[in-house]
Amino acid sequence: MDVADIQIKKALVAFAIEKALLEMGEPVFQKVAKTLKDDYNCYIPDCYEHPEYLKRILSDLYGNAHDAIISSIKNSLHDFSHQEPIQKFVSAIE
Amino acid sequence: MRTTLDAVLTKKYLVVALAACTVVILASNFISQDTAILVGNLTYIPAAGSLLILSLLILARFGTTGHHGVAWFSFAAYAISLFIAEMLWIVQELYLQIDPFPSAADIFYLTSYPFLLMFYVSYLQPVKNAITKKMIIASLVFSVGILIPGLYLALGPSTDADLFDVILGSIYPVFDAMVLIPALIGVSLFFKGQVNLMWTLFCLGTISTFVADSAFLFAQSEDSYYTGNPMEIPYFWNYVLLSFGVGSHLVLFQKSKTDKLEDLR
Repeated sequence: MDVADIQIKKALVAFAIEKALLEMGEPVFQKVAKTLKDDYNCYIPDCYEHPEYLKRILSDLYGNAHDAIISSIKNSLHDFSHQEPIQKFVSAIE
Repeated sequence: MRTTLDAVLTKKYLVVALAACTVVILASNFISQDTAILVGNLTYIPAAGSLLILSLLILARFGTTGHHGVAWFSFAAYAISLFIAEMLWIVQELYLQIDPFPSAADIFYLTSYPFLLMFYVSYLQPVKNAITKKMIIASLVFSVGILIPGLYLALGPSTDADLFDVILGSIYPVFDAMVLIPALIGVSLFFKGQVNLMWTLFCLGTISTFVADSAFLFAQSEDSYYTGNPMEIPYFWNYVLLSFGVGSHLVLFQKSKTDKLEDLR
């Protein structure tokens, strides 16, 4: 997979995450993004390589309900789930 | 990031606030019933006022977009409705010196319930897929479980009370039990999450209101009710619990200097 392809997939994943969080509310997105920056020194697109960061932050914030937010992210990526890297991201975040 | 010290301090202030309103009401009752009526009425101004201010602050933070935005808009409408109801009650009792129950205040008390329900529904909307049948049944059983004995005890001594007053008084515990269902679902859904503190406080607040509304119905039936009596303490607890709940959410989602969307992407 070339660099451009990785960037596209990163953007796709970031878009799915942002969409799910912004649907809840802008402060939710800001809180998640800030925690990512403070705790792991990374940004939303970096969750493509580290889905466990996002999972932990959502779990800390929303407890048992974090599964539903993750499902929403997975649904946004559904059309691309046949692609192996996206499939890998989806399995890792579950 | 929220530290353990913050959480402990929040709980410490919460206990102090709950104890303070309890002491104020009990002390005023020790002095005289007239003092209790005056103090009881006046205590509602800071109680309902602080909830109103905090709900407007959190609405300003979340705006009206997104599910949480809609939820906090509904909550602000709930707080406004309650504040108007309390002010109408105070004006009627202290200034016009007429019996405030039943009155126009009840219209605003009753109007507040759909807004609170809308708040719960909107907040739970994005995570509705995580709600299980077990959660719904458990919440339903708990709500009905406290409603039936509550109504039975409250309506038991009813003898010469006005039928309209009894029906109107009975609507409140029923509505409390209804809004308790999504509150309980929220507590179990967000269990172990940081937002759970708010949900737990809201749930305890709703239970406090249910207890106070049942006690109000009981006292109305016996014609022994007066504003500021010790049975009203759970009403004040409700305001304190809701205010701390909103406050904890406001702190959790507080705006920071780096919160520009472009900077976080």
